Amino acid sequence: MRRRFLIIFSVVIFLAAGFSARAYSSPGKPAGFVNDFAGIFTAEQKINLEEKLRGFSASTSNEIAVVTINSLEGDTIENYANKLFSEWGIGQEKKDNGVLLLVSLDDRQMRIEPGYGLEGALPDISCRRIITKTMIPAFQAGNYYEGIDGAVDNIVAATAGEYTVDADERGMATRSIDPEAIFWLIIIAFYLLRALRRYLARNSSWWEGGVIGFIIGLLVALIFLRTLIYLIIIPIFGALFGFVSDYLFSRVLPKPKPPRRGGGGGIWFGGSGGSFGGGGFGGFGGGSSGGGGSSGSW
Amino acid sequence: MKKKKGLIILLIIIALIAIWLWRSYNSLVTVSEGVDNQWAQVEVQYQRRFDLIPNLVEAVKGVMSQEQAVFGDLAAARENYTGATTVNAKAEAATQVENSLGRLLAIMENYPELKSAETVQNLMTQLEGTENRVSVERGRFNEAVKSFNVLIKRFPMNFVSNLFNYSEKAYFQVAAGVENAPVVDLNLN
Repeated sequence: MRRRFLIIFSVVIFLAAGFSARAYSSPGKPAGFVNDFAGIFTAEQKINLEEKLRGFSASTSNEIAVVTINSLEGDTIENYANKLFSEWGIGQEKKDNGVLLLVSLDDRQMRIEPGYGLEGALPDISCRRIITKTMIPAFQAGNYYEGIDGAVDNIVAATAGEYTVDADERGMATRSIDPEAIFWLIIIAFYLLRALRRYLARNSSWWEGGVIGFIIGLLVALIFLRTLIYLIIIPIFGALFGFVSDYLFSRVLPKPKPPRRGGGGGIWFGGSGGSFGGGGFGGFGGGSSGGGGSSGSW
Repeated sequence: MKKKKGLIILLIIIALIAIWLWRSYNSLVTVSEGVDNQWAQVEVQYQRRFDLIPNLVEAVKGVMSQEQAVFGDLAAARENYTGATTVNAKAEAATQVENSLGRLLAIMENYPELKSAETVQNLMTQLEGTENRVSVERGRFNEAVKSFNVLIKRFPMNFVSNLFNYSEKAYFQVAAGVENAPVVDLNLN
């Protein structure tokens, strides 16, 4: 009974710990290069634009994101654009070659913001020129798609020669770690530890736990962390933990409890809400921006 | 037999504490350097703004020939910035530059012919871009300071910070009075 309480308690703590508040409100996860939250494109227009941007990304590795929102909700377009840029990580991580084209319908404002890597090809004045010459005239006539499509062509022309695709970037899905997956991993690990404990308690040697701890530590470090220092420290921790656990289990708990049936498993497998990350668009490459670019209004 | 067990456990505990101290100190160093690095980024943007100002002054001087007071203030503020050596002096000088620049921009509002000149428009675009970059880097600086302050104040890290003399860092705060828009005094004699 007490053990069950401890389990539930630790899971609740784990879940509660993960959530941080944001100052700006995120519009959601990217569904592709074109994110029409304001719903101003027809299906055909969206497909055309998405194809164009996808092709550009495949040939140059530059990531242009087109985002339309209904309202900034009191935020400035500069702040919103920069926060969105860093949340989605537009552009490749090492090159920072992303561009965000943001349009806020109710506020009648737009902004073009290049990442660090494209600030040379798309300086502030060029962004301003694209906005005043291509976007504003079209927007004032009510042709949102024409304005945005023209702006995308301008951006493509300006940034075409900057970067090339590296061999390791082709076909690479995002590496972001899914929180849901980690949750399940911990549950599985817990069950494994329980089984392990029973095995170690029966065994009469005291060092086997240490060896197993070392190996598990090494595996964990290799999978999740790549720094060399962690590869040394975590297995040592694992070994120490294993030694101590095995020692305790061998001496203190001589009689392993009989395995539970059904009761223990019931808590976990009943409904874990939420879904895994949707298929299709794997996300952007993790690039960042310094706040360059230019805004405009119509 | 009992003595040996106790000794082993004690040794393990000491080893664990030592490793924890080692890792804590290293994390302090890393985060502290991160804050300093981010401040350097802020100064990079200050420098960018600083370099843009002479262009703007050249472009508007001809039209705004009577406004010598503003240009004088701006020149003095820039000299101050070049002369500043410590981080605090630099931050103060940057604020001074910001204030004089703000005054110049406010006065420019009174010269509509300036607004339409393309050189001025381009310079304004560049200045706006730079101002945005400054505020982005400042925002990141404050985030870095927050991470650092939270790290050193939390238990049990506070023992390690005291041990190695790591103290709280100051946030970047807007200087008092800056939030008031500059008052334009039109001397119409």
